[in-house]
Amino acid sequence: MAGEVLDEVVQMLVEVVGEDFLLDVEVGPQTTFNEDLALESIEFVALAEKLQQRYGERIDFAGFLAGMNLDQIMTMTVGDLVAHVESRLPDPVG
Amino acid sequence: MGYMSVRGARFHVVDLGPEAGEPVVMLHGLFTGSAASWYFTAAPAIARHRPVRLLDWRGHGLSERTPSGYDSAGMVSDLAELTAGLPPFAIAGHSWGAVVAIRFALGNPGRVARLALIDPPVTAPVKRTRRFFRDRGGPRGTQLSDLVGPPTRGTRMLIDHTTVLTDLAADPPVTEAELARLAGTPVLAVVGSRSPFRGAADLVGRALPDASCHVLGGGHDLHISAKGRLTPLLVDFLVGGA
Repeated sequence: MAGEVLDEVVQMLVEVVGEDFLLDVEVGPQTTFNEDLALESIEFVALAEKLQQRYGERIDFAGFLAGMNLDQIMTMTVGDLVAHVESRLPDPVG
Repeated sequence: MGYMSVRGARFHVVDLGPEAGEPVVMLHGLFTGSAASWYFTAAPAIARHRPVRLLDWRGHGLSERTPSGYDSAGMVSDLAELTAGLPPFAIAGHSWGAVVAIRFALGNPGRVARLALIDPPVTAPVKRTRRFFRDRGGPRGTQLSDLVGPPTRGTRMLIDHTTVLTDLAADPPVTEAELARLAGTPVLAVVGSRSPFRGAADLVGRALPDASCHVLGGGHDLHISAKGRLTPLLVDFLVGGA
């Protein structure tokens, strides 16, 4: 499963902000939404909605945010988000 | 992603939390506000207990920018359409969102179960807004760090290509008599100690002696600057200590 969620998150980012905006950025786990991607706050909401749509309520992105202060939200990396999603997915069988 | 097309515009709506329980509709302020204003502040804590609906007003966030329709009466009608499917609900409104909430409650008896007014601009003329933006320079990008901040591209488009400023300037101010007519609806009013609208707590207190009024250290954007103190106040009021 390693990398699958990351790939999906990157694809969702492309859908949210448009391919042109991501041309110069190699998105990886260390990429920050605010500093590196200059993601608008409402775009972050749109990304969260896509995650919810894709993975369902178990993602509980709002619950994830409820435990964070604004500084933590602003320094969140793509890897932080991917780790949260992966922690909510069922363990692979076998 | 949720969109609703009503009254000639496509609105972005975000639903959070459980399906059961009294819904809480959270309304953002104009210009720098959007559904993100609450999404990244108090909404997640409330959504642990109650269904929460966030929306982007027309011209804001991911909702359509229309040339006009930014007066409180028009926005009350927008809100009525965007909440038509909900049972009676609570509202938390920041800034102009609070003004719309007050007028929605007055015009729709029985629809609003409780009302949280966060730094409602009911004591200072709204025309300050024009100076606020003139003094803060030109457009720039809206990053996550700019939940509140100087004018953004979207804000500049809103100001330059819609009637928003003239709509606001022409809107009749909320009066003490209007507020008094909310008696019977539980009201929480929270203002910032350094906000131009700090006096709103006194006005609400005079009009509604049963209202719960608080002054928190901070400016106009309390949901951000005083997130740690405002959020529990809102949870207590909206959820009843659940």
